Amino acid sequence: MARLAHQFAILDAHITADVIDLTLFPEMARRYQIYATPALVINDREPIFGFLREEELAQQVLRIAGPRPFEEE
Amino acid sequence: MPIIAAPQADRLRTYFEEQARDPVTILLFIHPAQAGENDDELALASQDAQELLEEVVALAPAYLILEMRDPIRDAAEAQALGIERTPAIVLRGKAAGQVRTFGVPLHYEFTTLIEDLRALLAGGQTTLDDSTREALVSLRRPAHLQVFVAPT
Repeated sequence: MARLAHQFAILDAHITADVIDLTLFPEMARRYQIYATPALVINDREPIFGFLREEELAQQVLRIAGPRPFEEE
Repeated sequence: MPIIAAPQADRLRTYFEEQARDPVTILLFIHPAQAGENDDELALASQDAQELLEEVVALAPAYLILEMRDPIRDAAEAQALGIERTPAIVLRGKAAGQVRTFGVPLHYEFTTLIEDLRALLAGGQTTLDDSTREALVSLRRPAHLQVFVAPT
């Protein structure tokens, strides 16, 4: 999933993708309530646990940063 | 003893040579002295990251550049790039967005680093599906993805 997130950022200017080693930064686990890895947090929302396939990751990114219904015309 | 074993280094050298057409700069923000909690561990991780990245840039010296940064001395740049913890790695090249790693890219994350570099050396060519490219065209707002890993 780290590789996919970075590839998304290489592709699209809206995306910043960070890969974070929790063993070095345990305060991040406390901050986002990460209790298992891999975990994904998008725009400081609730964490998503487990591996995501490419299309699932795209869906999650669009769910949070995609067009709102009134923008879809 | 090198971190990247000789046979693997040979394969990667060839892999990069086949793809390379654009330069990539790797910025490494090292942990500043006496910054606070976990200092020793983070300073050691910064050394490990530097050693690893020096070996990586030696695989394609005509295209890969490693630049060291100190988040205190280079505070303005660190702030502009959103570097709030170290060690931090920022890849600069033909990336549309921002590609960052906090920690040392070893084990699975070494593969991530290699694939990042391959894509950037090749002018920003990702291996993503066409359906993903089409879907992401509709992005309207910034998306900050944080992937948390625990290398073993």
